[in-house]
Amino acid sequence: MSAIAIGVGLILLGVFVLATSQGMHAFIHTTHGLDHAIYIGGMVACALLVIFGTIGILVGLVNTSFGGGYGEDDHGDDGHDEHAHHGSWSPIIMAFGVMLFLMGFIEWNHEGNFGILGLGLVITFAGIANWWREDFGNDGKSEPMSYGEPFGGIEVRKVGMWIFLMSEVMIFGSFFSSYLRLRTGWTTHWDVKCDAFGHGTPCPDGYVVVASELINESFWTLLPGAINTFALILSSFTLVTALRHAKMFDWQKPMGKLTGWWMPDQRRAIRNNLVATLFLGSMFLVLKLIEWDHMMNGAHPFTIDTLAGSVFYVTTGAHGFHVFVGLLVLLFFSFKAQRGGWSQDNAQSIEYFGLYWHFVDLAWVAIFPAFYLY
Amino acid sequence: MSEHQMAKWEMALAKPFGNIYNFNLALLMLFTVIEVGAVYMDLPRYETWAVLIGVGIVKAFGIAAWFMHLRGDPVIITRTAIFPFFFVALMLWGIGLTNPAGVENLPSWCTPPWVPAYGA
Repeated sequence: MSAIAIGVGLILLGVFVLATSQGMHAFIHTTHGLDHAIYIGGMVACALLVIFGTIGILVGLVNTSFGGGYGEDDHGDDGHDEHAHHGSWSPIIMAFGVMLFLMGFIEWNHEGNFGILGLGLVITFAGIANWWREDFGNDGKSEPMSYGEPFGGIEVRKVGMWIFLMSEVMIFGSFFSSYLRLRTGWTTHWDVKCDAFGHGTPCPDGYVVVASELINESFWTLLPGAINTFALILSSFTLVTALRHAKMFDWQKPMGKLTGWWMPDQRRAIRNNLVATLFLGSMFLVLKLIEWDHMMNGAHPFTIDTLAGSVFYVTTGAHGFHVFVGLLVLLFFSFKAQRGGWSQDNAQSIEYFGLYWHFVDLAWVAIFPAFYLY
Repeated sequence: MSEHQMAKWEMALAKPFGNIYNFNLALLMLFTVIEVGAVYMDLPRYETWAVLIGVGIVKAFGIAAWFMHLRGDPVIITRTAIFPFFFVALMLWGIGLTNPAGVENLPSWCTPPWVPAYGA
């Protein structure tokens, strides 16, 4: 099935999900705000499916326009040493586009001028399209290696990914330390046994309600965060399973009934696990926005215009944005898997992306207890 | 992570689960249940912190060591991964020094009389 057909299918599915959720919202009235959660969840799921579908159509168009089928890249065994890896212009194109986009965002926000922002978006998408074109034909036989110390003999892309993750640790480290600093500033209230929501001993003046108090208010309010934690762990597992199956030279169908059904051949073993990762990541975002909606518009509004609110929404929002970027890459990987594009030779791309995805999981290991549980 | 890269203790852990990734999934799920349970058990503050930090360290190890393949990668990659945590530690240290109780109520082992106080 072509990427264009899958893309159109995803958009139609998005419209169906939206119509169903809005219909259910009109007829179902429950306690715990479940009807409202269906309403918000349907809108978010529809938005994600439309984005995925649009990308699917773009992948199909790029692939049709540039060829890029496997084996067409002329990096065969006989001559790939002569064709030393040519690097890629895509990252610098995308970085330039993102820079213009961010500059244009300020302009658009203050002046309503869309020009620079639009140009930035176009250049970013051009970079992404060029990256797809290059990677669709990547057979992995020209993987550049590092020379010299201290990374000699290690793949350049792996080193690059780890350097990138170092910067990510610092970004999340600064969010996390800001939160801890603010919260230790409120420590004087930690010894106070009171109920911020007026059911028991009233809290003293100046008491700062933090996100975890709202989230821990009941089983139903903690549920989205708890499900998300399990979903991220499971998504890390499905991604590493996709990598394991992609790297197998002598692939054999799993013996178990369920695993055999899930992974009937190597191509579908890789594809199904990538799609499962994509699904779990999408579910994470849907539940995250349901949770945000409840916190912002619930009985005790927790808004971004307070210190406690801004540090919570900025940190969890930055994490959610990382999940979203990961989903876009996963979507491309899934389309490539659908076409049988992964092999033992080029599976390292899944490994390097996996480092990013597992890092997102790792960041959640710190965020979940700090912002949700305590 | 292939079997020849695993230590004996890892192989012993992985054996009942088929491979190390299955074991890691079970480990992470179990510790997440413990994490959520600890908060609802209404333990004293420091006990709750101890459980949450302990569980966080185990989960972070599981993800970094096996899912991110640090156990099978060259040591320089692990060193690279650990490096930014010095900055995180520095920021946490800064929090300790700047919180309202950080100056007056520092424990005695933090304030030995290395330098005579002004006016002393």
